[in-house]
Amino acid sequence: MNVASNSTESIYSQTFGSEEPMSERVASLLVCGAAACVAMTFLWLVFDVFWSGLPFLSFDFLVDVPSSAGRRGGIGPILVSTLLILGVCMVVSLPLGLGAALFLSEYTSENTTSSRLVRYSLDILAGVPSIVFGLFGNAFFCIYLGMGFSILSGGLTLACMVLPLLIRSAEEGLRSVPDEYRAGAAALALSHTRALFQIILPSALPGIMVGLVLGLGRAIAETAALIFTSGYVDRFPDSLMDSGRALSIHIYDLSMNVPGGNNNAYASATVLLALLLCINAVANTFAHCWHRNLTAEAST
Amino acid sequence: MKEEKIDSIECREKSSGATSDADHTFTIGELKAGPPCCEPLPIVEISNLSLAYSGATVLRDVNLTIYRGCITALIGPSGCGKTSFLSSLNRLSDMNPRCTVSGKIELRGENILSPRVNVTALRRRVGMIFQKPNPFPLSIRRNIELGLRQHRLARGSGLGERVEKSLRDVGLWDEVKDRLDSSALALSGGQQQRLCIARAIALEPEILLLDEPCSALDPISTEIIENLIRQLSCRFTVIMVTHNLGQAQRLADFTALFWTCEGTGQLIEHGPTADIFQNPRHGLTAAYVNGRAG
Repeated sequence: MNVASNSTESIYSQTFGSEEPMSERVASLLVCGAAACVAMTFLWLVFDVFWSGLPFLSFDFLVDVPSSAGRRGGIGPILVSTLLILGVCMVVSLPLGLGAALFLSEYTSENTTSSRLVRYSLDILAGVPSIVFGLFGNAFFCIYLGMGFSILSGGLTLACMVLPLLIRSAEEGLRSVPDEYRAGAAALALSHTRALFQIILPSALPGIMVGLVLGLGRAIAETAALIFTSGYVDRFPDSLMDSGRALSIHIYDLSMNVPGGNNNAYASATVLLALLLCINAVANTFAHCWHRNLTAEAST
Repeated sequence: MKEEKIDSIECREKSSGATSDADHTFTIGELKAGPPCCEPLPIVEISNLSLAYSGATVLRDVNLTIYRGCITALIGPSGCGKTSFLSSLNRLSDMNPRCTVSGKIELRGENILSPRVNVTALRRRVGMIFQKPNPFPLSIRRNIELGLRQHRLARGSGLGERVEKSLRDVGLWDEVKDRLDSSALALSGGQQQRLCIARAIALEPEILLLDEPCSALDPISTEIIENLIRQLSCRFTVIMVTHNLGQAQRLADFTALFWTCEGTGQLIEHGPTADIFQNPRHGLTAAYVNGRAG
């Protein structure tokens, strides 16, 4: 009896007790510290932008046309251009990205030369600075294909930029689908397409959504790639072939080139950040609900 | 006093319900297998089957006959190629590009290893249940409908009837009839495995391959599945891998022992289960079934 209680005690103290070695405590302190630093940076940034931007934010600001080079007025046309650029980017990159991810995860095995080549080029592309994408977009879409400075050129350039991110995370999502589903589908002699669209893609949706959010986030915050492709014009665009100023370019212009534009720059940054947070929240909720529907708690 | 009486009536009802459940009539599958094994008719003849992964042979020269309407159990220590053997019978081994299969597997006289064989049609005829229950993350209904739709076996209202039939056959209907549209993943392990059997038999296969169907289940679910397998054998030819010698003895009409010799799996002995367990011809079989080897 005594022996038993003694040993229980010693196990207890080993697990929870105060005799934790110093090195363990230092390690956990460092890890927690690092996490806290990251969280603090994010919170500080959000706080600073919202603190300086919120006082200048109003409904009029969201719908008005900018005047006096953006010092006064609002960001109506800029929001419209931004959403159009994002729209073009997603319409092009989503099907292409999903297709490529499906190719990588479902149609080739991980070690074939073709898939390794595609993956290698994607990793390089993901690391290319956005200004290089901007120059490429300018040379290819604006000049070579004759699209000029337009929302279409900007959206297409952004699509090239977010594709690697989208493909790699969608691929990860698809690969995380258990092989048992594939084996089960094969044993029932389901066609590849049926298995793909009715079992594998729905199961991989949370991963694909993560890719989409990362891609959207990168696209909405992009400045350098858009300066040379979608242009600077701050009026309402007539069509996709018209030039349009994105929100990030507006912020850049107000803070760098327009003396006295800081307040509106902060207000625009607040809108941009709020948009980013919204996209994130919507995607997360969607993926969460989807996952819960799929796995439906055993308690129901 | 009154309460006791009511209780006892309920109990009797429950127990009578249980027995009618146990010998409920099967609806899916033609009853052509006949009384099992009184006159064994070969359905699959396997000759000189060898199987290799990336050139390394894991199974060599297997010659085995599977009889129609019987349960054949494949036993042997882990890693002796039983599961690989099983997966070559419906060409699921094709999914692994490193796997090569040679020899002959004749299903009703047709060599299913021939490249001209329609693998989709083959897998419809030879269903498979896996070790770990693997229902798709869809509703219970959709799990069964997917295969039916794929093979155009039913449409419209026929689809619902077929779903009900197959669920009744595996004894799952009463447990799930009110939640057919909720996720299959919410079922218990044993229920999930029965759902997997239901979606396989919904396609009316001739042969069912079971890869250790009870190894991931608790004893009660195991018993339910064992009873189910016994009933299945009246309608389908069953080939099952099992590590549970008692289960092989209880269920199987024929038993085959696989063993690893010099790093390669081989078929050591095959015959009626009673012979394998009581009068084994091979020393290894005697040692294995008596727990002295493996």
